[in-house]
Amino acid sequence: MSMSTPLGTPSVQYRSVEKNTAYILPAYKHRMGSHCSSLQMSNILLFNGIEISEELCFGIGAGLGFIYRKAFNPPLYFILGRSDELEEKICYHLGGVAVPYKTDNNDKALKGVLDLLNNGQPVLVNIDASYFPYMRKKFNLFENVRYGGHRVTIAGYEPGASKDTSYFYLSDYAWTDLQKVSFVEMELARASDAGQTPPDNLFYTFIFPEKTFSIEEAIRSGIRLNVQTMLKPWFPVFGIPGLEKFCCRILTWKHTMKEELLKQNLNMTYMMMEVVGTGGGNFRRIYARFLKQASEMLESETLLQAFNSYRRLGDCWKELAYLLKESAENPEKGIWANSGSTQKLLDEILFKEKLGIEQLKEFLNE
Amino acid sequence: MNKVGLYRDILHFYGHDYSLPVVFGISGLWGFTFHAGNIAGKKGHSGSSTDLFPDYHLPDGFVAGEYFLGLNNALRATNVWCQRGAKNNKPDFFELLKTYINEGRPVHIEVNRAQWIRKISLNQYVCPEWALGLNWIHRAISLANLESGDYHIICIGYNDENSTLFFLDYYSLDCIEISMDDLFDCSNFDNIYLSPANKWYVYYVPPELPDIRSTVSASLKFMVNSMTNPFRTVPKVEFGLKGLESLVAMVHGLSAKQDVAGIARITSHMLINSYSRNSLYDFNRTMFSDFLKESATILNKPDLENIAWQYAVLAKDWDRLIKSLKLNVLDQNESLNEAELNQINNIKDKEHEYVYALRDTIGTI
Repeated sequence: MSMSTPLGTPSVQYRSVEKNTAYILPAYKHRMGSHCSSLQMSNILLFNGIEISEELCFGIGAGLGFIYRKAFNPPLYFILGRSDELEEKICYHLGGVAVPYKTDNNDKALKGVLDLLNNGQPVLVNIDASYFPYMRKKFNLFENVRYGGHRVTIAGYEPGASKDTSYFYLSDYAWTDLQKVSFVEMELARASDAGQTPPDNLFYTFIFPEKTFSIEEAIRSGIRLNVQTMLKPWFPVFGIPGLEKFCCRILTWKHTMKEELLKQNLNMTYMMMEVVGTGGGNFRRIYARFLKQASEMLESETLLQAFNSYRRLGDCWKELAYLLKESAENPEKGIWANSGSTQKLLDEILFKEKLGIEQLKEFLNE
Repeated sequence: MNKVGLYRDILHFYGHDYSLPVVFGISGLWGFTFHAGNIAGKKGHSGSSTDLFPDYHLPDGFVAGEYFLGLNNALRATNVWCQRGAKNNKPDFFELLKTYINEGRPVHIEVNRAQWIRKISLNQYVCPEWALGLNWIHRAISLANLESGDYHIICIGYNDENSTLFFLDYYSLDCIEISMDDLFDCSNFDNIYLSPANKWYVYYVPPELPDIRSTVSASLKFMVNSMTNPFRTVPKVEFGLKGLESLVAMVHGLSAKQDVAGIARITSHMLINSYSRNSLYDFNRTMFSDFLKESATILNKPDLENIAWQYAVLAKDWDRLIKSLKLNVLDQNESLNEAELNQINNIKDKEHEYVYALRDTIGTI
């Protein structure tokens, strides 16, 4: 019986594209949006002949969420208003499959991407955005924190004489045109081990059936899963339990963190809530827009009420985010200028979040 | 199907008692896959031309009663979060295993099936009935020169002093101890079908899982849809009823040409991939039947019991056919006879009929 050889460097094959000539998937349509994962999924679904808006992708993927957890390096509280694995959930709810692949072998990671491109498929990859010059110019977040959970779609490539002179063409949510990065920059971004959520060379293969489930059905499935993930997460730093902790504890940060770290954490939290690809309002605005579209498609008054709830929640989170920004500049201001008023805002957020989930449950019981 | 047993054990570890058929069903693993490729007389793997995703390496003449989903659907259905990766450096691989074991979390590892079974002499751990079936599979693997991954084990402990690890294997009656080096040798493959490539998984299971009725209902719909509206892939692989139709057409064509090598290749795949826990060569139709029976109760849908019975009969049809092929084709180097060709036509028609009956039934859930 033959034995396969141990893992080595796989051979990389390029299409018969001339060197220094760009090969870009002709059927891939780059569009801009509010949130990287949802927007990329919307683009990839469109590529596969399925037209679903970014907002619907967010909702079908059960994107509403909350995380409040302490990391170690750096020792900052990580706060994010969305859940994980959107891509896989969207595909599952549509009857398709998103096959994730992670490896610590960078050559294999490169080969996987090129194989998909050569087969005419765009490739959704996970990256540490701080490695891309065009990202660093736009967001100053990366001076303080590294985040390996940014998603871009590779829509083409241009082989050169070396990795330095070979390029990928990326569809990135906040830019009007495809962005160009070298193979070297992409390798560093995909294999980065810094920060809270290392990308681990993650990329996806998407496979869809000839006929997917109806969007209406997928919306229901997404809402059902989201109620579950918010109310019964696998760990109490997520969902409503995580939110309760956050609302209870954030005002204690000033007493438990040194000033430099405190300012860093406050600034990062403000950015994650309001600036970097959340659609604003800690993802509640994009979820509200999802509910609006869903209420029209499903003709549901309950979903319309839920839309109003989440729209107001978006405003509350925005208000909190700007208070955090103020505190990041001066810890005597912002959320600590009037702790009583801040606590009222936090209580209101918690109450409205719970109310929103109850409204979604009511819709499911209709 | 040992990944189904593995996932059942993982859920059980975290306090959830799901039966094996229910775990099978909610994992969405009932289906059909056929890849003809360049089947005539060729041995081994076809390489990257049919790599739907890394490590897939689908061989020519491949036949299976399921898809490539792994446990992805199971995770979605149960709202379990999965930490995963691939560690190609041996010391890093072991440190990772130890880290998670120290946290109290079992670690799911993929291995080369034949290599694993050889290294641990699995026969000493399994019940005699399964040992016979496993031996036939290994013979078929040898004949077709086919190694594969898609074999799943759970690491539950380690001994640093002896440099050994402890594993559970679905087919084993006991815990298995293996050296760290041997374990790495079993996982360090990346050019066989569903290569293990040092892949690992750790699961984070919520204290409360989604409502079982909606989970079962969604899973049934997913599986029926993927049989009747098969996946479209590039490169092209055939799934669902279309895959089955292509298989039957191929078998007829090869028989007409007396292409014994091609028939033997397909038969090897059928033998290897149809073997189920009941020592039947039934492409898990018995397991699916059991799932339907439980679904009938869970969903309060008695009609599903009738369909379950039909799949139990269909499972026996597959078993009879594949055992006949084992004797005539693999042992006697013959092509399919008329009775066998009629059997496979009959099976195809039943698969077609039953899945649409199932679709009509679950449409009302």
